Amino acid sequence: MIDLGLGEIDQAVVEALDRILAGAGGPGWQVSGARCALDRNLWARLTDLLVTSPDTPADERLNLLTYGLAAERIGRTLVGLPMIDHIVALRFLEAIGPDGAEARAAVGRSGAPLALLIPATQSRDAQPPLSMSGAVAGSVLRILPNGAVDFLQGEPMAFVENLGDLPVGRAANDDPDWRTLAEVSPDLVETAVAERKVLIAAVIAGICDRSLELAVEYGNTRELFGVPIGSFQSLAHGLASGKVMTDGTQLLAREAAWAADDEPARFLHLSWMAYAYAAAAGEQVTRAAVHIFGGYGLTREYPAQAYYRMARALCLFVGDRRFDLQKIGRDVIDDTQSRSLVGA
Amino acid sequence: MDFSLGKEVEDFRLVVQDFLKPWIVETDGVEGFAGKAVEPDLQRGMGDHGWLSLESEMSMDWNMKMFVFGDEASRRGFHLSSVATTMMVGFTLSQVANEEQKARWLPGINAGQIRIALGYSEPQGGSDVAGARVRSSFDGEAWAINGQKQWTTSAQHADYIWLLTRSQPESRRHGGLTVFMVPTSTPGITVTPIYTMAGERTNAVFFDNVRVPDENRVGEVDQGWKVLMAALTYEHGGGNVPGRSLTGWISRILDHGANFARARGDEVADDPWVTEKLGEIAIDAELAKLFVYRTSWAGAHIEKADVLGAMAKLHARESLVRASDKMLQMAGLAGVANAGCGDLGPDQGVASALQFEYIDAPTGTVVGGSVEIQKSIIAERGLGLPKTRNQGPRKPEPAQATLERQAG
Repeated sequence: MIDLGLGEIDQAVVEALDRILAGAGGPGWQVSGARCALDRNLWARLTDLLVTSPDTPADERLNLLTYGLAAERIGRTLVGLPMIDHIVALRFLEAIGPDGAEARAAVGRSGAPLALLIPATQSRDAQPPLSMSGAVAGSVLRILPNGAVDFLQGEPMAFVENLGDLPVGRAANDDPDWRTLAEVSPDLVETAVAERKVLIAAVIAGICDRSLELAVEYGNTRELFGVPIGSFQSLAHGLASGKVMTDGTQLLAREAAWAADDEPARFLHLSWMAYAYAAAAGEQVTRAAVHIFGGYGLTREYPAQAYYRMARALCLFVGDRRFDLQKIGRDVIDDTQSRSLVGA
Repeated sequence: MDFSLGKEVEDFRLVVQDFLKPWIVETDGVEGFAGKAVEPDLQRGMGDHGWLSLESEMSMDWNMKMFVFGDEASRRGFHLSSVATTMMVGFTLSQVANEEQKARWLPGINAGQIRIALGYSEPQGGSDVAGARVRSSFDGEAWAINGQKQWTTSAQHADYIWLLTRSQPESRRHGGLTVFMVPTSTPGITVTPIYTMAGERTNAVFFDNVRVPDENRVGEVDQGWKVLMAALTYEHGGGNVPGRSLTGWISRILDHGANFARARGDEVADDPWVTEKLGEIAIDAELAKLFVYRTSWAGAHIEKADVLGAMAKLHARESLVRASDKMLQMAGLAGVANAGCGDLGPDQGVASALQFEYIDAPTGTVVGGSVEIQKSIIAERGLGLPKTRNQGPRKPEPAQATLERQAG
């Protein structure tokens, strides 16, 4: 039966994560010239809380739903974003069994993020040229659509200044030290892509939520024509629509993450839904929030723009939402999601 | 966290599908409701099954079963407006009526034998409920009611009108209002049909010196706004009254669209524009369902959830308009011809159904409080923005605050 409350573990993880994120002095990395320096202390605290291993007792393992809730908090603060690909990549290594064990151990020893190279949905690149956390990574997992799984350890990638101020790294795809771990089935690759979509959707739910908060705070205090601008119906109603999209993003992401364990037959379909909706909401809600600030919103001194840029940047890594919409539409036509009217 | 309805509720879906069968007719390959004239029979049938019980209003189980009922019925084109309005009033009566009134009306509502229409809107104002002008005055023996109500849907089948009146002629806005249960058989009432562009009937109801005994007054004299607040809680999402479910309505449009695409074959079904639009509608339908789940869950476990209900309504109603527009565009010229006209081929029936949905969908953005009312509720009570009439910022309502705290 429907229950939208957080379970005990979820609640504990979210509260502990909030404490870590609130105490962070920055996003988790610092740019210095052409390099990015990882905040290793913060990273250690995040991995202590969020990373479990195959040896962790079953009742203490975190599932995709808990990771989704964590991703929402990361989205709100824009702190610890390399954790998203780190989690997706580690779960994939675990899913491929013994082939991934050594790489998992190496990641644990490195004390740094595991970066992920996986083609965006519509990508024409056989090998993705950029990783969203590569500039602070100690290792890289490359998963190609044909099922080839490669692993590389070593120095972080070269930093690439970017739209979202992420620690983006340029991938050394022709490095001779790449090791092939396995050739896996397309299903496993598709699951990893779907998990990433769900977690990015959850990050965007957090991004929208915080953007909206900033906009409401400003709308309640900034006065024009002698009244708070939030009393103007055109602005207030725009923010109300933004609230619907924000909560919608959160609900769809949570449902998809829940389905990973509890309704696996719908997981892929719901992951496309969560991501396709989040990609649109991320752009629209954060743009509306920037707009509330007028000219100030366009400057880097005001934080709303950081959410606007980040929401878009993350989606460029994941892919064009139209492809997800088309897959959902195809499912509707083929009636693969139990939409038949029984007895009709 | 659990997003499933559970076996018992899913099994109930099958029961509902069996129950609805006798009232389904097929026209040009499209299923639909046999017509408003049989709604009273259907309502009695629901009463016989015990589905109209007012005792379990906030139980999650009942709420979800009624969601499933509405979802199934609306997906097949049933517009059970009378069931919905009767239940809303029934829940309100169970809260605010005196014991004699409860004994008089509630058993009939539970049994599906009493139908009640809402008498809120007037010609000069639909969403501005507090601007009511229909006049009520007590002469020592009975109340005399004069004036006109508008958009009184289902009044032609109703046994009572749940009537908001102004009992203090000098009062303004929320003061000086009184609520009555007015039998439609009372002399002086004239029900005049008004048809929407989609051919759906609503009504104007005229009250010409209608005499109503004081025992039909609900709540205190001049305190009708308190009664209205209780009633509007149900209209704004406090429970899933089994009326015209917005989720089922969106699903119906999606069904029509998928049927049309299948009937046209690969030329349409492989068009990326078509699959994209179907994908967008499917997401809107999924989310409409999730918003209902959340409103019901919050209503059952926390407290009244009118902001969450407003969000559910806003999303679903705007989705309806978007969905019907996209699917009529897909139907193209086949959607131009009216039902039964044109003889344009085997998919003419579903194309005409899409045309109907297009001209019916704007109903959703108006009835039961326009989408602007929902946006103001969300902005002011949910986000804490100032009232648009500049009465200062408000705190978020407890249910919303609680949910957000739970989300961390």
